[in-house]
Amino acid sequence: MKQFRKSFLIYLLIILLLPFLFIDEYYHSLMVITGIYAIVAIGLSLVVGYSGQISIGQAAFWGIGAYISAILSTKYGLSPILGLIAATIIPCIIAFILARAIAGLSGYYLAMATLAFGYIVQILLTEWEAVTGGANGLIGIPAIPFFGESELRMYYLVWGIVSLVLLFTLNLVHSRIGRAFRAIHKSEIAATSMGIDVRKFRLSAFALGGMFTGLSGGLYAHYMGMLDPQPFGFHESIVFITIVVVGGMTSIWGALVGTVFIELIRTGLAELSDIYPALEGDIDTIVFGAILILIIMFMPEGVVPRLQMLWKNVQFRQRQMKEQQTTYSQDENGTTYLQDNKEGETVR
Amino acid sequence: MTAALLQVEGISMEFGGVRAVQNVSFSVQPNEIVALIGPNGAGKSTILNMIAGTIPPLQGKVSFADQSLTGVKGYEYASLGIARTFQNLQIFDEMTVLENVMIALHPKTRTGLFANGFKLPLARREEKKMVQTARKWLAFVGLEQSAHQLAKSLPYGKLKQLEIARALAAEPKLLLLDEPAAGLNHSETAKMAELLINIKDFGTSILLVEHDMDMVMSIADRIVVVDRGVKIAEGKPKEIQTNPKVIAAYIGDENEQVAVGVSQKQRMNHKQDLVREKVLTVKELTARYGPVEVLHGIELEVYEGEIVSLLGSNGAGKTTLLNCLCGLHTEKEGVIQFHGRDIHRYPADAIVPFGMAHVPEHRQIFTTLTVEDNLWLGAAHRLNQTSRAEIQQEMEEIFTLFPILQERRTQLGGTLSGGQQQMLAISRALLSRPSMLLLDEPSLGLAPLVGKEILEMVKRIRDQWGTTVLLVEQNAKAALEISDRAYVLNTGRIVLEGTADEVSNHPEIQSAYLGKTHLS
Repeated sequence: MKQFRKSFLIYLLIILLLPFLFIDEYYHSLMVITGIYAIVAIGLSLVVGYSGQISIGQAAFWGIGAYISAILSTKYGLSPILGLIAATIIPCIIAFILARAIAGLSGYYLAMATLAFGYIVQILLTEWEAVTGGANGLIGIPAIPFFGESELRMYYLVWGIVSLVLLFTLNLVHSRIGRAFRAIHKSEIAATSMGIDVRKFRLSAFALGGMFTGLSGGLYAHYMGMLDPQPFGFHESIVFITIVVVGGMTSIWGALVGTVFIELIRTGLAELSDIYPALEGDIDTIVFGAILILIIMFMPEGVVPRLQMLWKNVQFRQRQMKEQQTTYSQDENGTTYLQDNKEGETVR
Repeated sequence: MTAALLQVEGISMEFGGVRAVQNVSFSVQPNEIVALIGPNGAGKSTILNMIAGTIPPLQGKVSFADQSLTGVKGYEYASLGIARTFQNLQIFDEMTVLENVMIALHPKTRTGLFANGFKLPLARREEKKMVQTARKWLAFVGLEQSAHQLAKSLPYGKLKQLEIARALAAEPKLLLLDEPAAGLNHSETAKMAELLINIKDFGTSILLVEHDMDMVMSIADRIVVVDRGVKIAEGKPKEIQTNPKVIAAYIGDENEQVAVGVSQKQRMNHKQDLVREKVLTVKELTARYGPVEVLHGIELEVYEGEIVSLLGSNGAGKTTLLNCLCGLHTEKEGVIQFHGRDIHRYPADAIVPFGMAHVPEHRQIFTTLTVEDNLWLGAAHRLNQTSRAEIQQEMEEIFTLFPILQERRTQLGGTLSGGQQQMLAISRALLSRPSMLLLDEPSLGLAPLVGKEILEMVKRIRDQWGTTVLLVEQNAKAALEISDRAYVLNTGRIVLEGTADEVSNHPEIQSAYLGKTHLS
């Protein structure tokens, strides 16, 4: 935990104080949605950035989680908490089975398989009317009681869960498991020769990603209060991928930053289209596509790793400058007397 | 005889119908350094990969400490006690040096996903112990100062040490090393040799593939030599250095002279007729792969109508030099003048129209296109200046040289035999109307007779069209037979140059291939 204690404390502070900087309920609801997306992004960055797989059907797990929790609590009267637990476990199992079935696929083939899976699930959600309510969807999904149901309470509930997921994941990536993920991503052959069961770890990353995504889907269902199949398709899967790529695939913090960035743009675009009706429709798809291309062209490692790199360079240069100054002062009684004196004066 | 640590019994491997390794057997005893050597393409890496479990052998059996490794999964090798390094470093460069070593402790640790995600005390304790153990191994190779640096910030030589520290951390009984000295300078190589002897003294056996013969001769207890997938010799370093079979494998067979040598006289005549225009001048050429400088100050001249050989053992830099000349390798500095024009900044495709054609190693023909289409692609850059009929005409001319290609003109390139593919590759290069032909290992992987035939073709092409040829060839004797002059490279430097006769009679040529005489 040493590696990230400072950043995590700063993060907690921001999360606690943010609702008091933006008091309007509108902002709170935006932040809740951001938190829900952040959970998916963290899970997906484990799959894509750490274990080096691709999933462009992640919205399917999101939908499965959402519908399971919604159906259990509306149709069977289960507590939303139990619904959430089911929304965590079942997508995890489905992800595990899917990953087993398509184990050995990689690159384009894995992308195709997850894409197909995404479509199948969305069609299932639409067509299985008896259970899912079909295109009309489900309404009257109970909210999760958390000392009341105000937007502020929901904010703390969702971001509390985000924080737990974040802490868990940060712990994980700094452990032997995370190292195994990263090793597989870099070179499967080398990882194997170090005694890492590549297949097992790819499976577990995929299952964990499915689990977080399902949990997020459950939260989404209870927060929205109603569901229809529309958000659980290809479009949302691409948004998830964009988030992870923008923030930086190989950084858990990147997933968080990417989510905030994309949600800001999405909100900005929505507000713009209120002013300019011409922008209504799928404008965000175009913008996200453009962002994805630009990032891949100019900053393939993503925002957070790039910033970390810049910060390290600044530190390095500062240290170098300091070292230079100290060597100057050591030389002071040597031949370069005059020049050093000048240096010394300006420093003092 | 005590039980062998590693027993390799009759292993074979095939790639695309070509026997890469054939019925190879040998053993590694406890506390022994065994070197696996052989010319380029002999199958050494394939053998190492079969032992390491990366590719399962087609036939035969590998057993380790009296246990058969057949059916053992790749990731289980580490816990059995087999660790390896790789020919092209496989360092996890985005991780710290310490983390790289900790990866190797993976099979020795047990905590799972949730224990680590929730940071349970057990996981904490295990992590702490891993850090300690990893530090110990870093200290052993002298890298403890760099523990928290990112691996990618280390210089190449230290990365090599890191890879060994990582392999050692698994506490293997057998260490498989794929070219541990490749890319190291003299003092680093000496350090590496010392390290390997230290490791042996700790009781770990080593099987290494290595091209630095000086190092092999000084540290190996036993040497196994393979050539064209077959084991041709085994013994102590001294025995190997004087083994005629080994010398033949590296430098070429004596009796091959008879076959090619017929044209000796012709060659001399040809040379006198030449109007000696300098076609290619190379000055102070250096080349690097990332941080590693592999060619140092190369000076080279080729005159019109000459056949010049570039000789030298594996890793000497021959292929890199050719790739520099034809523009495929871009990390280089120096002067490359071709017909008076400095081409060292031009990309490969821009150099072809100047009249330089490159036939790369392993032929690189288009296997899914027909023979004829392959040839048309060779003429690609001339299609807008030359009429189709004219190119068709040239193609017929080439077919007279290689009648077998005419027979198979509608066959797919991939269905040709190795020798035919080589002919196709050369023909394709000829269709770009080159004044100079760069040939990289044209006889590699071919049966000796076929290889000889190809080399004779090269000579005929020169005699017929006056094409200048720069030839890289493993089989030095055969190459020298058709060459006018030759350069010998060793570890990125030209160590010897002269006429073919001078070079073939020079005593240094043997040591360039097989290392300096032991402990001189």
